[in-house]
Amino acid sequence: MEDKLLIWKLKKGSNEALCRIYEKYEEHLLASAISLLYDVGSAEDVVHDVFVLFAQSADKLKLDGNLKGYLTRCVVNLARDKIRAAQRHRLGLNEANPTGSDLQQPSLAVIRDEELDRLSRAMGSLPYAQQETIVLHLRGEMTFKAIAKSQGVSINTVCSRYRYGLDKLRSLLNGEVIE
Amino acid sequence: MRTAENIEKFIRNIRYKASAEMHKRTLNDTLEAHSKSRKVEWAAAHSNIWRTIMKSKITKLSSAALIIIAVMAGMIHFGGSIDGSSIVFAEVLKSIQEANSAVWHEQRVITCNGEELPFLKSDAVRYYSLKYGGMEDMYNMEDVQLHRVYWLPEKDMRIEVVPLLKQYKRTEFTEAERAIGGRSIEAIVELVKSERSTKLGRKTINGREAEGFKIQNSKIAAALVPIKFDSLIARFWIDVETSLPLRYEAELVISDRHITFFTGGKAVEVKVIGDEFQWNVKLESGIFEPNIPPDYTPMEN
Repeated sequence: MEDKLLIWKLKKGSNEALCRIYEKYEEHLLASAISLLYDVGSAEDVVHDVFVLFAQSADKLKLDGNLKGYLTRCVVNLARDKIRAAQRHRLGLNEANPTGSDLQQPSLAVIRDEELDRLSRAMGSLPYAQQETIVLHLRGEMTFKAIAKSQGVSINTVCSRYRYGLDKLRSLLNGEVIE
Repeated sequence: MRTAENIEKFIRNIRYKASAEMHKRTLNDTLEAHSKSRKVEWAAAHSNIWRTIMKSKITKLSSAALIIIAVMAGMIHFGGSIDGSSIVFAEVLKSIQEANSAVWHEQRVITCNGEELPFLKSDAVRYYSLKYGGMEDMYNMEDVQLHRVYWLPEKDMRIEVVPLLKQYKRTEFTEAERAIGGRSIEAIVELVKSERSTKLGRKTINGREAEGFKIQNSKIAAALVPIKFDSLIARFWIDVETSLPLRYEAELVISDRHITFFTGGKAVEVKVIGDEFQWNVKLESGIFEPNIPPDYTPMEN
């Protein structure tokens, strides 16, 4: 209910509502971005861009789910763009030795939280589609059906990605799989 | 050993506190982006309003001011008693004709229930030439050109060009416009002889001594303004030394539905102020030549 009120106020031009949304979701989105990118600097850039774009288009915003899900989806999309851009950059620099599976950039800034650091490393070993599904479902609170719709795949595919991804994460985080 | 549920809970709840620098930069940029988008949105909304306005009859209020230079002079003579020191109609007309040309500023402010409707406020630069006719450039408060209107006596035509709509409209002069546009003193005299004015006395305007006159519910204005108005009060200030207009102010109350659809049917008051007159200025003929871009289309009635 609070989010709906904040969106309503934001559409009326309220900076206070925008600040409240920012304060409310900044840490959550930053952790989501770090878990996908394993790089604090890139994650900060993504969160920055998400909020700026959100502020620019607030008047046209039409939420078909919750605000947290919407913002998380924005983070996932921008993070994906960033990874692809990094891939293209690396391919351009060293075409003879492409490393398609290594999407994450090396960490430029230290992740100060040990648990998040472990999660990010573990997430990095999953296929990106599984990472996205886990982030959207657990952090964006999106249903599998909504994720399937946003990714243009079947709900079974989403469920599989989630299950396989979570199993592997559990193994990695429990130290059952050695990287 | 973490269970699947614990893993889910862990992933769901993890947070990361941004650095103070990142927090401040992102928040500032976000607020700035919001502020800029609001400005753009405001301008776009007002542009849309003006598109609607240009399609309405509100710009036809321009016609009222076009003829004002010539006609207001007429009101003066046929009004109060004329003594030796008073300005007389013939003198004013003669002065205007001798001056040949003028450039002045006109502002229109529209209010409803005492509240100004800022999106309807406009500024115009008006050009008058005895030889070529009249022209007006109207802008809104964001300096967006709203229209350009040409009154061309030789073509017996009024041409309105609306850049916002990429449209134009050619309209044959009405009888009243023709009489004024024909520049015949006799015609103007005939037109204004039934008007009555009252004297307002004298006052100083921009260092010039001016004599004031007031008219109410002018029949000429009713004939010349193609919009129905409930009442009209106009005041004219004539330079005592030169017998040339220095300033005019007009207040029209309008409940014409073409205007009041902006206010939910409530009557509006239109205040028109013409000032900053420059008489006898050199005006190039090009100012009065409508160059309609080829991609503009005729405006529907």
